[in-house]
Amino acid sequence: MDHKRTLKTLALVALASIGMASCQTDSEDEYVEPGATVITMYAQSFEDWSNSHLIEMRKKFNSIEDDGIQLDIKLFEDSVYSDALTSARENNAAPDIFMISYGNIYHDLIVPGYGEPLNDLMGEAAIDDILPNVLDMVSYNGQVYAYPQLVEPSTLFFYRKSMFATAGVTSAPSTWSDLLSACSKVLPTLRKGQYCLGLPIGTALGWATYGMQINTTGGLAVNDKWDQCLVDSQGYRDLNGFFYDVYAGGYCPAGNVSPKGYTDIIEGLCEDKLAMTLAGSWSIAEIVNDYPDVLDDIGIAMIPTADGDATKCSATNGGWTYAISSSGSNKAKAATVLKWFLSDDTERTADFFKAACYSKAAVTKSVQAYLSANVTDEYKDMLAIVNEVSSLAEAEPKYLWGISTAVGAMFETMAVKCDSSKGDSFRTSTVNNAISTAVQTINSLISASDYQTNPYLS
Amino acid sequence: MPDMETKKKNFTKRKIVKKIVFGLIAALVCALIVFPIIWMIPAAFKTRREIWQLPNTFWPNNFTWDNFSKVLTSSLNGYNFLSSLGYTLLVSVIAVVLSLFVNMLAAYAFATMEFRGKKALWWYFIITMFIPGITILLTSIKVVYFLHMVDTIWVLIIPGVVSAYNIFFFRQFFYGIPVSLEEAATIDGCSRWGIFWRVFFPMSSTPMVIIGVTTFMGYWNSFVWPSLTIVNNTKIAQVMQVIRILNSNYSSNYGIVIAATLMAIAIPILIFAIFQKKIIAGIAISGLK
Amino acid sequence: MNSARPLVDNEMFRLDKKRHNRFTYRNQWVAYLMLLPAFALLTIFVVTPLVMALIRSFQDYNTSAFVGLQNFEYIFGTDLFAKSFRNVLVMTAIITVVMIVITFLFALVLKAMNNKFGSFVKIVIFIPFFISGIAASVIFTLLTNYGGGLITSILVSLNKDPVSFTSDEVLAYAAIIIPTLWLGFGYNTLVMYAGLINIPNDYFDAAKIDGASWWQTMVHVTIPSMRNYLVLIIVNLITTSMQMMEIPLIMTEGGPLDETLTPVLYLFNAFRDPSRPANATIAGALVVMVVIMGVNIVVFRLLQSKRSEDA
Repeated sequence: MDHKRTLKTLALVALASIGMASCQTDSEDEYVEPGATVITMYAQSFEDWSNSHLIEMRKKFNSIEDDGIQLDIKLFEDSVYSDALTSARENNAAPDIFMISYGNIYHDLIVPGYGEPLNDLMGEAAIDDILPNVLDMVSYNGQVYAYPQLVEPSTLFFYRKSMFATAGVTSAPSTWSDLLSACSKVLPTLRKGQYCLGLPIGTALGWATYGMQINTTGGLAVNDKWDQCLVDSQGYRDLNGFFYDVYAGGYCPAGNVSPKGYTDIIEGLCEDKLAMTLAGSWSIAEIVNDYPDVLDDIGIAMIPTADGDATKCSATNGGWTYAISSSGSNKAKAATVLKWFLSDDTERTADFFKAACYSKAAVTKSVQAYLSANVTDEYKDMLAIVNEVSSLAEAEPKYLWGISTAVGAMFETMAVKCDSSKGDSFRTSTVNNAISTAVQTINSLISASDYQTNPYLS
Repeated sequence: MPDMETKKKNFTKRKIVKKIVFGLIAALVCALIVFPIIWMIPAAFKTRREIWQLPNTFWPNNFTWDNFSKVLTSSLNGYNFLSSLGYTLLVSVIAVVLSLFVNMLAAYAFATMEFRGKKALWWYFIITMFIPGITILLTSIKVVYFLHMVDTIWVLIIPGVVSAYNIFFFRQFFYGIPVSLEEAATIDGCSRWGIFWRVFFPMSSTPMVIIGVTTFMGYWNSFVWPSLTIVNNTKIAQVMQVIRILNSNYSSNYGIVIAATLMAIAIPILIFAIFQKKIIAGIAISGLK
Repeated sequence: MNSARPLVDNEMFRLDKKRHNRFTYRNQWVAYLMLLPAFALLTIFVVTPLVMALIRSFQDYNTSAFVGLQNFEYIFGTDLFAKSFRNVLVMTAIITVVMIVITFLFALVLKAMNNKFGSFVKIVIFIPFFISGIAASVIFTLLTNYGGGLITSILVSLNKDPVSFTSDEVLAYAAIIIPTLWLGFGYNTLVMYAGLINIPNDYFDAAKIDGASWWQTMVHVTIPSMRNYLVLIIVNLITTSMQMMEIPLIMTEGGPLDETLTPVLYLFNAFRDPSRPANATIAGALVVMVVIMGVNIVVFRLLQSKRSEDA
């Protein structure tokens, strides 16, 4: 009968779906230790090389027999990571170890009390090994709350040597005026769909410009205590002017040439759509992995700044750390895992940076020394520049994100309102108007009743 | 003065011209509708260099199966596409079966039986038709957390099983089934259940196909609800949820996203191909209220 | 009816609700049993959340104290939700109007075509019905991507500057409206078509005899006869457009500076964000429901009154 056939088809479909659903992938050849405590780790999913490296390390760890620990890593994509953590915590199933970025440590770990202090768990040697400027970023009230893995400066300058050569630009620009003149030389050599300079756009303007702000103004949008707006200054006027000039010259694209925006803006450079760009140090790994044929044609330098001073901060250090859940029941074992990953064996920890093609900087003295001693020739320059910039870089600020958005919107106004046909007075007035709007927004945020000033200063 | 013959000829000519023009318009519209899908198909075979390359080419110069193999074999950033295909299929099939059963039974009760409170109950059901999903989104999440259904396949299936619109639709259809058939079954000694199974159910293949297909599509294409309720158990994540995550991660190597999307829409298109006559006929019925 | 036994309830009372006797409710427990699953599920998963939403929208988030309309004031005074609401109203208006016009016109074209080609066209235009918003956005991103999409490629070949669908407000709206129209065109055309072919030919003949022009026939015969179908389409369009979320999410992520943010997208993003008061957003969602219902009632009324006109 017709119905029997329908039922049969349905049953087949259900079976097929269960078959598809139970596809196992990468944990088949892994050793499962009987009777071991399972330690769960939540990590954020990054590039393929980073994910595979993590899985490799997990397999290596699990192949250690008789240590009583079975490590289970769950990867979550960026937009769902915090949801997954929140939901796990709500269900009393918080992971033993979780990844967290430096910028989120205070608000998402220390304040709600999700992280266990690590000084005793990790041991004195591991804690002492952390580089001093990184130590500040992971500590609060004398205790370390998250063990760092890497830092990566958020703004470096990348350029295509061949496109420079065609345009007659002889060296990487180090000041804004050099940059503008280089752009003006490159522009006539480009086709439609190609642009001179890549810059952060949209939301990225909020966080990718911290380095430029510190470099140009000596500080950020608010003072150390976070209760005073500093945007109305000559430094910010100059920085706004810079954005005005590059956009007025038509050197920058109106939208993101790379699908994810600033985080993968280097693709625009590799695909011949940009002649030069600001990009984070993580881009180096992307060039090596995905566009190896243009690797030799790419030059890396510190970003062009107002005065070209190579000893000033030009980027902020972002990066990732690992924390142990305070609500977990196996903290000692979790600490064993962390130590194995990040501090016991220098060579093992340094392996990550090799896999990263030296696009990230080390955070412990031992690893830093190891890398400098063992870097291969092809990566020597990258290591040097990443180390240099990150050593001068400052931590990402932790003040209210709305403040950074207001600053980003200010820069965006420059991009939108600039007009090359109008003169200097228009430029000045546009800059000033944008600044006063930003100041207004920031002041209203500061004067809100639930605004918090810098807790690190109290 | 034009005689009847010329008049007829002119009229026929106008008719032919009209037919041609309309035919061209229809062809143009069809081309416009189909074009994005046609454009997408070769993109699944392009490497990351080619997919966003300027100028675009239709056929890939470096044809590759890598995108498909990557989507099907690896556990991309914690989510397994094949697993999501399987679980979405499972969820959709179970949901369709449950949904048809529950809704048809309710429609049968309303269509053929009298009982105290029938009018009130009917209004109770109808009112729920006018509650948009957004209004109850946040509070339904609280309800399913309370019921400990989150991160299981049941949270995906159960909340959407009852649809007042479907009950309405079936009730309309059942009204059209002659009383005499029920009579005959009753004489044969059938109970209420028996009448349902032996008379109404076998006759309902057309509305069952339409409602079944639309319900299946609703589940297959669901995104918001799975994204909010399947968070930690990534194995059972639904296919549209996974595609969105792939879209965030692989926006540069877009061939991967395209390959996954092609596979994800293959099944609905297949269903359309199988049931196409009944579905299109069904649209006409659904308009009659 | 030839049986000599007393008529059982269903025979007498299926479509005629007036006559009851003492046999009427004899088997009603069966009815209740059959309704039980549907009733239970609806109550648990639809009605309970609705009641909860109603209650919470008048409560303070932290203390659950009754605060009257405060949540509503908040959500429309200061929050991003108000902006998302305005955005979705504009989008819904544009989509509804454009969709009705183009599907009606194409249904006319369809009606004038012969069977084979007509069936083919119907099948082709119905294909996008099976594609979700997420998949459609992926498909259209291939066209609209600023760095290397098809539109950029064409513009570059014509030696023009590419346009960014994510940075420009008007283009961002286009990037959302066009995929939405693409998705709904087939289904709505078929409904329009069903409406058209259900108009009895006598009406048209009568109009012709009365000497009505094409336009007059359209306004006085065709459109009024399609009242039911138009109502169905408009109600459907408004309800689904007001809740659109997948296409804005993927195509513009809420648009340049939240210009294409929609209420459901706002909820989706704010979902676990502790800094956004959940009760206020619940209040907002209730307002969306009221608006949807309100617009539907207005449309219903408008099209109903036309009936009394030519009755």
